[in-house]
Amino acid sequence: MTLFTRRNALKLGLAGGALALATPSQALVEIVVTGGNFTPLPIAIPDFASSDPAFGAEIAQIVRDNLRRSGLFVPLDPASLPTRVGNVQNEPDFATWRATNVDALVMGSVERGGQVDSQVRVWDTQAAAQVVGKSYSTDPQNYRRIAHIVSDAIYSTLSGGTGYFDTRVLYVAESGPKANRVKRLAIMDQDGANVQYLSSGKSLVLTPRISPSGDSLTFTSYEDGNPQVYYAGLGGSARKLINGAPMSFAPRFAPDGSSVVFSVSNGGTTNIYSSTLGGSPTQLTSGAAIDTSPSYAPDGSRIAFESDRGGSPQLYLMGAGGGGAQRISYGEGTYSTPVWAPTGDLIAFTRQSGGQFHIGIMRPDGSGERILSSSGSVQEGPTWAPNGRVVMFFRDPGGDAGPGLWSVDIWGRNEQQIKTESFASDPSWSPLRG
Amino acid sequence: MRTGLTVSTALHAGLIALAIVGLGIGQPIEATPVESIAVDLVPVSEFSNIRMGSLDSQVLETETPSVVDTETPPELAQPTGNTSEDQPTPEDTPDPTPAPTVQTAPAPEASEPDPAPAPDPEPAPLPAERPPAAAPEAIPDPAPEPDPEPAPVEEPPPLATPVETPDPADAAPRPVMKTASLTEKRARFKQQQEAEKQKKADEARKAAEDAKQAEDAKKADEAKKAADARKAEEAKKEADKKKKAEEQKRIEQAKAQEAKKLADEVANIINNEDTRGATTGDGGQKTLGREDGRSATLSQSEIGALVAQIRSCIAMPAGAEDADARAELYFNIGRDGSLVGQPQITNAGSDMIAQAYARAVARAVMQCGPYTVAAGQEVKALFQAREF
Repeated sequence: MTLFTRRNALKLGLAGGALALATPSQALVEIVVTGGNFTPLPIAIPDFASSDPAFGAEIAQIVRDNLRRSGLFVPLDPASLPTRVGNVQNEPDFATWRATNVDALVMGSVERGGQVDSQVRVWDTQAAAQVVGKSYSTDPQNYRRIAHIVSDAIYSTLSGGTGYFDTRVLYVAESGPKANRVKRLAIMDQDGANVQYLSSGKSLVLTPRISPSGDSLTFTSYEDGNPQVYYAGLGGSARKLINGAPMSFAPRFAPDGSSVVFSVSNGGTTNIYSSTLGGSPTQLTSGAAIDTSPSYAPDGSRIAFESDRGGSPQLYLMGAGGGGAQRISYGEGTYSTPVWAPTGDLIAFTRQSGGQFHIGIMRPDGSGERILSSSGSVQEGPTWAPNGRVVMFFRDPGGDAGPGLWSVDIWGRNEQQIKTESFASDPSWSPLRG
Repeated sequence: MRTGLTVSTALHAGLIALAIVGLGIGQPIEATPVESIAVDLVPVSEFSNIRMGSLDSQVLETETPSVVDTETPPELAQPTGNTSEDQPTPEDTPDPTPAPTVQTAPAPEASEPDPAPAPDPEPAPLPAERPPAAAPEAIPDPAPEPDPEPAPVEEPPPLATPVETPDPADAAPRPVMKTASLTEKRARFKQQQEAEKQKKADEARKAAEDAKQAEDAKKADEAKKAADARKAEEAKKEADKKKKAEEQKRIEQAKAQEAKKLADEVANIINNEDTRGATTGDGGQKTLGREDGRSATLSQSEIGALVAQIRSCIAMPAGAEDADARAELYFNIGRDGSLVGQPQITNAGSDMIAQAYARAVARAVMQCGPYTVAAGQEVKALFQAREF
């Protein structure tokens, strides 16, 4: 019988087809990848679409500057992008964006009318999907806040954690020659814009602190000739906190904003007191040592302060009602100005050792001490950003130059100077305004 | 023309002759034997593939087989004997070591007359002892009866006479060729000997008692003597019966043991089958494991290369390490090494930082170019921000 029949040919064809389609059995490869290098994320932010293109470009530029300053993003030059102006409505062409090596893409639009309205979408070009889409509005006076709010949204979705761009910094603005410095209270947006001066500079002011609600402040002033603690609403008049103390200084608000903890120096001893606004003070520490620079934990249960009861200035923790204190700083040198982070997991401090000034952080039990910045010139007075990831402090190079504000993130990266109109010192970071 | 031909022929012949001679002079080339190495091309999968398993397989609890075939589980050996006190030194027993039994025909009845003359000297001292019992000799009929009894009884204890051998012959059956341990056999034999000794001791004791009773009765009361003698006789008969019954029992026990042992042997021969331990093979239970458990077909170094390649591209978000972010990705690599489709994030945390980390590692996987190392594989990758 003949072999070459149609049936045989069909069989052969099917068999051959099956053979061709067969793939070698795949096994599942399981791997574990740990760690990785931190690199800033490339992000493309074309100008925001707007009926006023200049306005759209300005808002986009504020966003780019914010993200660049954070050190976690690398906004690309807008001139090099495929599209100059963003389009919020339509999905972007991911292929072209991928070609420019962009991982994240921000499309936004902003309109200024009775209110300033803005819409923003963040796209992941590799996954070709939207990451977040939000819309915001604010009053026209604070149109820059729109840019800061948008920056916060981008920051939180792409890098985890909350943002810190919609905040203000209260500080002491110094001007004039070194021998005759004029120090005034000032407040500005965290990117340096919108500076407002709150005091005349007639008398010396130190260590201003903004309240947890962001609308009042407390500071030390030499109005009386002696340093005394004052408090005031923003833009309002100042009032002395307590009467009858020879010297009081180093004030800080409690987390609920209803009381202030500060130091009183009375006949050679310096102790920590707490007082409600308009009430009478309660003493929290006693003894012959100098206890100063108190700072509340965010939950209000403990106070970190500086004391030299052990012989040299070190950091101590005690309960909010006073009582036994526990030392937490054991490194080399002397420690001062402890500040508890708003997230509650870190304490920033100033350390002097080896002839240098260091700004560092440690955990509340004293472990995990990490120095973020070291300098031969005087630098101190750290303050925390609301997300607990950035620390701002001031550094005085000495000589005729005056102090300036610097910031660094808690991993020690991205140390940079915050540009201010005049010399600046004693920064205090406000919480998020929104 | 002619000259040319001759010259050419001569030269050719000369050349050929030279070649032949030259070849003869030359040495044959000897090939030195080279040691060759056997080379096998073996795919990696032969070493890295694992057996297919079954998820619900039972775990077999196989006990180590014991040397001795016993039902009782092996126990820790207890210190034998009394080790805290000095023990009396063993003395040489009058019994010689038992010789292995030899099957011989039972001795003829001629041995019986031997006890007969033996009691003759003995009754002599007896009447000598009891001169006052001369009168009771009137009732000597039952008297001599107990007398000859002790005699044959006294004889056997010193020796295992052929008279008694039929009994041990039944008790200790024909030695069968089997692989029971020698010590066991010896122990058993010793047991049997001891049993016999016990038996004989019992008999001796009983008989002695009986004799004593008879004598006492004789001494004490003549009238009771007959009854006592009769009682003694009956007692002796009972003892005899008991002895016989015990013997029977012992014989039966030994027979039963023997039968059991034979049955064991037969069972061993019948039930001879292959081991069912936890090894691969036909039958038995599958090893405990996944049914689709095939090991990775990448060697360790290839896996390391893949991990390094992906790791170099990861742009980690800022707080991921502090937050100990983790993500699990599942992706397919095509034949040419490029990614097929998009990686699926199978398991990522719910907070922002974990999602940012998951996106970052997905981007890294997509960007990191052709994975020639793992072409044609499915990969399940677990990412951890913190490096331990």
